Amino acid sequence: MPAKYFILSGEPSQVAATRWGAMIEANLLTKYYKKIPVVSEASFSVGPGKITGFIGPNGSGKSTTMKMILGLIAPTSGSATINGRVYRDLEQPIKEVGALLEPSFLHPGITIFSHLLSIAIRYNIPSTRVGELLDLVSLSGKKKLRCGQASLGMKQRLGIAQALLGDPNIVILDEPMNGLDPDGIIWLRTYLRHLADEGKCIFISSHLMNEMALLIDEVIMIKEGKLIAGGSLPDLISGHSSAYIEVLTSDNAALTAALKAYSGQAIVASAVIDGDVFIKVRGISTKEVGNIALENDIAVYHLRQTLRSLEDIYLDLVNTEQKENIDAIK
Amino acid sequence: MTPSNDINGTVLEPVGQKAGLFDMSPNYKKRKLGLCVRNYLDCCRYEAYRIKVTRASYIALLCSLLSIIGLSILICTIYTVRANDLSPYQLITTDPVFLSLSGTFLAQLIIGVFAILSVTNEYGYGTIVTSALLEPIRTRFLLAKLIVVSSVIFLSTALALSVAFLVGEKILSARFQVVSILSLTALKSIAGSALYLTILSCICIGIAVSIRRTSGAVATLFGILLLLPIIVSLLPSPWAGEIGKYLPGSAGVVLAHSFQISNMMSPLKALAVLACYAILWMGLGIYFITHRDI
Repeated sequence: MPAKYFILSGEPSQVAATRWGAMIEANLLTKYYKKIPVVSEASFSVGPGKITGFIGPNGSGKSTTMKMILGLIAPTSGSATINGRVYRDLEQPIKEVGALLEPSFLHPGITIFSHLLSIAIRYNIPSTRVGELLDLVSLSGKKKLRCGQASLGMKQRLGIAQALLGDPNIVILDEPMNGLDPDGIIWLRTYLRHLADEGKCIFISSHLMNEMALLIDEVIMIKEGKLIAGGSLPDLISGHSSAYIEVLTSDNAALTAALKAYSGQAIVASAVIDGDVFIKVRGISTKEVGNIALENDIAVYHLRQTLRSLEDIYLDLVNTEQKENIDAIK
Repeated sequence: MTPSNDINGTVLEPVGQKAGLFDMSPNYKKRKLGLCVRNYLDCCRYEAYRIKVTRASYIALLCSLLSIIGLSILICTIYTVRANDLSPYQLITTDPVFLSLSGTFLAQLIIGVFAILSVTNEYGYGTIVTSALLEPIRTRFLLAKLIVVSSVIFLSTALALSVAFLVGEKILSARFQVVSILSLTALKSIAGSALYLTILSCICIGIAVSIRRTSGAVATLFGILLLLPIIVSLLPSPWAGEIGKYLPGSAGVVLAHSFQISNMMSPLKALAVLACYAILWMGLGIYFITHRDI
């Protein structure tokens, strides 16, 4: 295993990881299943104090990547490290990284409480912590229920409790919102934000784009095993948005003329949205548009900076790739 | 590295030290060994707790207990009732100790399935994911499971066999010459049978980890215990005996007897052969669990 030499050689990034907080790093992570690439050369890092979203279509290699980070699947080549070490080398793994992978991780004959307690016993965690976590995920009333009788949402809650049991600095959650009720989703969102504010590193995958847009700071997008986009969410959105301003006024023609007179960079077009004739402005701020309208005595009914949603960008990126692939085949 | 204080007076401990990255202390190896032992103990506690809170494990153990005692009562009663019909040769070759421990050969299937399920259930229910997250060193996970399951099986079968022996000898004492449970022969046979079941459970865990599916593993177990002796017995005469005596089932028969059976292995050799089977299967299991993805 090259992993041990990797630590001793003291790669700068690893020293940084141990000094500056929790981190996940993937370095040219690749997995082939019988010559079919599932993940190819994925390199990324997930830093502390942030929620990083891992987004991609079904079968794009999200879960495989997470399992490789957690040492469940051996990468064909490349490596994934947690705080500079591969999962195998962690002495008390669940105290460094907590994970929720799939909902079928429970023995149906064991009660919810016993399941958590068994893990607490393994890592010498006081049993009061189990109670606290059951309270946290609002399962304390159902702790005597056997896992086989628990609903999907309850299993997810239990999985989240299990991930947090060791109070780890890194939390990896694979589709944690599946089966959660709206209350649960809101709770999870606020709680994960709270954890990130404490400096923890949260790595979360989901296909609920609107939920993710509310939750994450950073985004890593994967498609067919290849990373197609990454970076902070605002950067991604502004980078992929043809941001424009929608304006609805009493005199569109006058405003158009005034805007063109004000700035040569302003690109103005008109558009019909829901029966109203709007003008779309680009290359100028909302404030400037408002001021110009005021100077020209034009009444403004609607003035809005449009940004594309994460979902739009996601669909765009995924489909562009597809188009490129089709072009390449042609 | 010593903890340093920052401006606010809070103690900063380098994360690396906590993670053991910069551990250069002279008794590092000693500490590492201690840590390893503690990890094994904790892992065993985890496995033991999970067996304790699962109802199915009680049912399996109760079934094996009942089969050990029940079959002993049945066989011993039949022999006692039909003692007059036995030829002098049969009377001499009848081993009262073996008769009262005959439940072993029914219990071996139940015990085997119990050991197999302790592993294949993990794969079936997906709890293997949790187990592998808790124990990144999978050999440790497997060996801890082996230690716990085989200890549970050894203790419970030793208890059941002792009870079966007492009951069986009580029934047989009407027509046969019996030995006390405190005699060396009796203790040797009881311990031997319990060890047979225990080592068999190790073989089963090896099979289960290699195959991962309950159906396949149970079929393999039944094949080894029930089909293989029949197939071997079909071979021409010197081969059938020579190969047949090294089968796991034959070793079990040897261990349950109070005297040396002609043309069979000695009890110690039988234990050694069983251990070889267990090591082979466990070796295969360890190879598979460390080389396959979860």
